[in-house]
Amino acid sequence: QEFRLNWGHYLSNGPFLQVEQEFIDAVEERSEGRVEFNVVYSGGLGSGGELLTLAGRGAIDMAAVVPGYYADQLLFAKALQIPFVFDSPREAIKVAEYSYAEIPAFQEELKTLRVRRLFHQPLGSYYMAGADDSCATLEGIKGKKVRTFGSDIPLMMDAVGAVPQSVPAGDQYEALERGTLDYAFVNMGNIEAYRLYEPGPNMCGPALSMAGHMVVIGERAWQRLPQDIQDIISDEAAKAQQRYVEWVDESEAAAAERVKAAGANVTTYSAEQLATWQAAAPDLLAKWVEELKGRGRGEEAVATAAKWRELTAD
Amino acid sequence: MLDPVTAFLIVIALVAFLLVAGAHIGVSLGLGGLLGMYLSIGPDAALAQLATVPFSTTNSFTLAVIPLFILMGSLATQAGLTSELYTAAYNWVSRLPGGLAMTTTIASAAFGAASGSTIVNAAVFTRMAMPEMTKLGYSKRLSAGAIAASGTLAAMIPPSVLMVIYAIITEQSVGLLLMAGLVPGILTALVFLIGIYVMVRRKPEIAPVPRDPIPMSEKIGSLKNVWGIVVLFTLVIGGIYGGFFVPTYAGAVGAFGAFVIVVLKRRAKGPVMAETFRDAVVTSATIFTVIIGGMLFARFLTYTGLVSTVSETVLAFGLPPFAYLLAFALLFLVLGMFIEPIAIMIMTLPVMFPVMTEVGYDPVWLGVIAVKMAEISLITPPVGLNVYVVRSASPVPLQLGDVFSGVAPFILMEGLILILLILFPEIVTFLPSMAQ
Amino acid sequence: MLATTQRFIERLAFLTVLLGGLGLLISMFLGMGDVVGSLFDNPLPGALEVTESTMVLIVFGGLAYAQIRQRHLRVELAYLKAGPKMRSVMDIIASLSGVTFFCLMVWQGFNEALFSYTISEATSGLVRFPLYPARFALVLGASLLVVQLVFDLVRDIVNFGVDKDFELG
Ligand code: NA
Ligand code: NA
Repeated sequence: QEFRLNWGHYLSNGPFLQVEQEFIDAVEERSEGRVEFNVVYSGGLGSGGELLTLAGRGAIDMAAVVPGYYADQLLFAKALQIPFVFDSPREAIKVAEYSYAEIPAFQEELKTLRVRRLFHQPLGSYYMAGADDSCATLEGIKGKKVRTFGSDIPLMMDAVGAVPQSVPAGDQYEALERGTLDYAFVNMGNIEAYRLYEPGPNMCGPALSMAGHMVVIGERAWQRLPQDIQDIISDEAAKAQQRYVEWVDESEAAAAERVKAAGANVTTYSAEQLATWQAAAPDLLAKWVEELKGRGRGEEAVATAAKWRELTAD
Repeated sequence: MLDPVTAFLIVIALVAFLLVAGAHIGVSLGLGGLLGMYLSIGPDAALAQLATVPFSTTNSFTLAVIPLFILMGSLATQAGLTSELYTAAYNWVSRLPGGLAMTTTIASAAFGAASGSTIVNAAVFTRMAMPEMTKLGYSKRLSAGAIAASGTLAAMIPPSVLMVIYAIITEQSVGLLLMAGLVPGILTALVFLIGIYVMVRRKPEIAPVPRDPIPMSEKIGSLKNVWGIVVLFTLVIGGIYGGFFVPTYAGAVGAFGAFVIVVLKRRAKGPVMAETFRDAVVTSATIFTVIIGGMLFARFLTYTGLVSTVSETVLAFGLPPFAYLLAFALLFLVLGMFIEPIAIMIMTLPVMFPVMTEVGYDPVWLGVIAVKMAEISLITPPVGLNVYVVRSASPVPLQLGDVFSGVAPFILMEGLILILLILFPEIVTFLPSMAQ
Repeated sequence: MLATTQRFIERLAFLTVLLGGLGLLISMFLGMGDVVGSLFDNPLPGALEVTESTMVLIVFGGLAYAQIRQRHLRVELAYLKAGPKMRSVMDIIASLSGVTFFCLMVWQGFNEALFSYTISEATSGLVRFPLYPARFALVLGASLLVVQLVFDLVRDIVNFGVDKDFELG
């Protein structure tokens, strides 16, 4: 092959990366073998916190980047992971696509970091999973230890009186089993993958929908590629983005069915409940705008938030 | 850009040259990795990786368990737990055939429950036991061999820095691996005791028996002093086993427990305390130098894709699993003659682990085997870290050759234990499987 | 001259080790505090983040002192067999390779630290704990080691072929 693209991934390989694998296959096939991807999973080329730097400096060619890990660099991208902004993974991706096409600040911050966005991973909506069904009401969540990460989800849980706990993803099963955690908080795919429905057969949600990681290509790697290959990659990236949303909806629904068949009991929050919850929490999007004001990017953040509220209004 | 294989050969030549020349192991691996990335990917890859790896490797919550376990061992030494264990073991077994060697073995194994470092064990018990054994007329070989070999028990009996490093390289549960080492560690100590008994029965002149019997009251009295180790062990292992906390916190709790014992025993004198902390910091720095260099080396290997190519090629032979195990053990044994075990793990596991699990070996069991091989490498010539430590810590003049011939029978016993662990993997797996 | 310099470096190295020791003490108390706090549903916020930063202090605080005390891990096989001249050659190679490696690390680490400072990089949890102090600690610790290695190099060259004490372990 002419071009070998080293792609650093923080996740371990698995069926939930199927769409990314399809993207790889399609590009390799359409380029007639001129491009080959060397995807290294589980942080083999760099941990989650290193990948953006490595891609920007040309040490690796592509990376799966979680915006939340780079809260001081991806000031705009990280907003795609704010709770209570999006109703569904589909909506999160719709807003992401719009923002990268129409709001210059989004592309510009990536440009400074010398990477280009190809597509986003949509994350399945988050459910709480625990031993009892008190999560069915917002009252019931009060005082419960819920697994959180980042800085916004703890605030979201705090709003209903839950106690945010930081537990590594792989330890959730044990933590639920031993009661160090009352509720896990992840998407159905992971509830199934980590078998969280065993210690936590009672699920309530969806409470949070957001975008996941972003697949980027380093500017230097991109410039090295001839026009025709760039076109193939852009085209397949757009397809992957569409397919990813459909695939997440399908696979999350299927996971939910299997989890239910295994005896789980899923309570769906009403629009009212979610509105109450959101009202109890600080306006996290407004909080983001405040933060960006402090960093001298207030104007763009205000415009972004306004546009997003318009796009997500039902 | 060079092709991966050429780059790899150049890198290996450089690393071998630097290692033989006596450069720091971490520096040798790190420079090798950088050169490899420079040759096969480009200067930016090498420099960018050097920009991120040292920080991301050290700024890590999981790896924080390593300095904390080291601190726990240092504090436990300062608390005098070693001499209390030694006295208690002495009172109970010193009059058996080879009793003083047995004393060291038992005390060292017990202290392994507070210490994660084989070097600490070897050094402490050399200073404590060597003069006593010499005075009584023990053969220097038996004395030094028993001390050096039983010093390695600290690597198997939890807590263990080596076990943590294995768990992190192979992405296994640190807690399960720590627990998995308990039974094999005790088994090893038992085999050593039997071995000593047999050796001394065949040649009683190598181990005279102390003259005065010890009254029962004194025997029982000395047991009261071993509570410290019991408390520490219960805190750390009970905490992990009971799921109360993750291993990093087990390190903090264990160190804190040892700290409290130091204070309660009124041994918390400022200068000594400072020395203890300083020592733990310095030891951590040396270990992490190897880890950082090893990480850079591993990144280079990952870029080249050689790891997966080699694993796939090796697997394509389609040999019976046992053949792979044999290759794994041999590789470890040969490298272990020359190189320090942390570096061996960092260099070999990325290739060997996927192969071994693919042919069906249990990852937790494999961790115990790897640590067992590491234990052996610490006492095999020509480079056996524990042997050197015993030699240099001994208050009695010792030849390196004496220590090496002294550990020879223990290497045989280690081989026997290895066979037991392979034939009966349940020895390793039953305890962690109960925790799951 | 050499002796005065060594004393000065040693004092600095001693100071950084002390800081590392302090970091170790902090991470011990924080870990313990978080465990106890969690038992009462009151975990210590930021315990994890601070522990991570103190790790950098521990590791890079101990680097130079480990060099002074000859504690860094090496393969001593050939060294033990070598005569005084060969030993000097080997010492020079060891110091030179160390200087090269850690100089590169200081250079890259400094750029990272500066960038981290410019963007006020902080941990992403509920507690926003700044990361640049730890990044600068890395640079300072590694720099001090470079100074010590250069010093060792000069001494090895000045005393070429002179037999010297070598302590193992
Ligand atoms: Na141990
Ligand atoms: Na050896």
